[in-house]
Amino acid sequence: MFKRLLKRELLRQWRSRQDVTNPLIFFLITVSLFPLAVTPDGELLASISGGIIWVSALLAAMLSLESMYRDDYRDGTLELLLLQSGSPYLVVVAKIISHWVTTGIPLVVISPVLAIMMHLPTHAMTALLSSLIIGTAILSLIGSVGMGLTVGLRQGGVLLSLLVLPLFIPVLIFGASAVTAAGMGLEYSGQLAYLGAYLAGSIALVPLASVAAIKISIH
Amino acid sequence: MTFQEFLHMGGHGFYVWSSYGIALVIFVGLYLSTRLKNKKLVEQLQRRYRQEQREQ
Amino acid sequence: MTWQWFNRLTSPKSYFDITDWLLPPMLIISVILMMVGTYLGLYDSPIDYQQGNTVRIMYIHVPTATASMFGYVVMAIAAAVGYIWRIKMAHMAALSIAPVGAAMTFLALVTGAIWGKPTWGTWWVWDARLTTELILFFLYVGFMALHSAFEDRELGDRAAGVLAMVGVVNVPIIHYSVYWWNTLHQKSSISVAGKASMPVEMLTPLLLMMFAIILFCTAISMYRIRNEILDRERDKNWIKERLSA
Repeated sequence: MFKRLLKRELLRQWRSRQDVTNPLIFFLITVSLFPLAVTPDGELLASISGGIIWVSALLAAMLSLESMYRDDYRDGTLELLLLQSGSPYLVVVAKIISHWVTTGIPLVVISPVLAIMMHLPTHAMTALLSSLIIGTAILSLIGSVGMGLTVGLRQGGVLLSLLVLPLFIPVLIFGASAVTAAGMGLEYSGQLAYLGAYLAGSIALVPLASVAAIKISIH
Repeated sequence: MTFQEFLHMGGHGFYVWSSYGIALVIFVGLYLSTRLKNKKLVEQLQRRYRQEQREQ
Repeated sequence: MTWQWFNRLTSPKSYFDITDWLLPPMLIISVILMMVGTYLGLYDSPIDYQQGNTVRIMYIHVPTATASMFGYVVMAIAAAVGYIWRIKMAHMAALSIAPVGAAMTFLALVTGAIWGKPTWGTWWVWDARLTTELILFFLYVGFMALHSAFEDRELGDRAAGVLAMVGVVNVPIIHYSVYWWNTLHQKSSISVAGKASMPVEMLTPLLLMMFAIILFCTAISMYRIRNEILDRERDKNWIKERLSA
């Protein structure tokens, strides 16, 4: 059952491929804007690159959150899925995983390219990749709650950022700090541990909150 | 302390008085906005009840 | 038997009857206490040997910051009670507290910035507490914005309730992470609330203002609940009788 749900979601994302490539391009462009706007000085860029890449990844991932529930909500499939698929939590988890696989992971994959552009030292790459993998997963999770709450609203998009961003700030702080610390040659395992804990907590609580949110929206 | 000195607050008069001033505005504002809304609601409802009574 | 008693307590009508006689003295007492506290704070209390007279801002900044955090927790509890047990009054309470809490957060931020300028030299410092307060402001605004975005008010209640519950779990996490981030970057040691051992001449106005401001916020919130009741229960007979009298 879960495999079928997952396949359906991935197929849906594949069919609207521009939904997948748009965030990537946005990510690329946004990061590139900073050297142009701030300074091309390599050393300065390197010290702020962790934060810039993280913020840009966050914004890019948020762009594609709409695709999680909106189409299914519009044609009523969401309601059907939730009520008749046996376990609404599986539906939500399938959607979250497919969002992460089609949005978050591509962001992580091209992040090394951006890191080079931002003069991030190469020994910080592992920190960048590991923190971003966890961070994008957390974003897909938190985004699913925010999306569940706003999917039925007209101005949902703007409200979504207002809801999700404050909740994501701890992740941003620790994720960006992991990269910056690694860039300076310092330990960053503590930050990663924190991210892991946040991920574990989200995995436990988010499906509950998402299902509750969607049930409210589909009324 | 003279009143002049009191206002001057040792050079920090602007900061202290603007803080207390903004606080005053907000507290009074909270009270007035609630009271205004109350009056509006009561008037609105009374008007409606009178209409309903007339229609009966 | 006790269920009847509880029901009577949470019924809009009895709430209205109780607040009829409870609210005016609450408001008056809180205002009087605030005036006394302000007098003590502005006139009858000592200046700080480092910060001079700007320390008087503390008597506004600390109580409003406390009220804002306290308010969010109460709002979240009310929202949770309303969500879990579907008690309308609880949702009304959460909705009434939100703007008051947001106003307190705003005041805490503004007085914090004004206090910071002469003390730290800049209008804004990413101090752990101020930053957490800023995020708290976003949480309050998000709660109110989400609620007003729903056309069906009861759905809006529940949606905002979910948000409040998620948010309250997050507030200590946000504070911890901001504190950690802040100590990482801190160049100077900042202590917003002053030294731990405060002379009694400063402690008195501080505690007085804290109590007075929290009492005032509670009274205003309870007043706002009355408005909510009038709005939502407008078709009930007891309201018609009361207003036509």
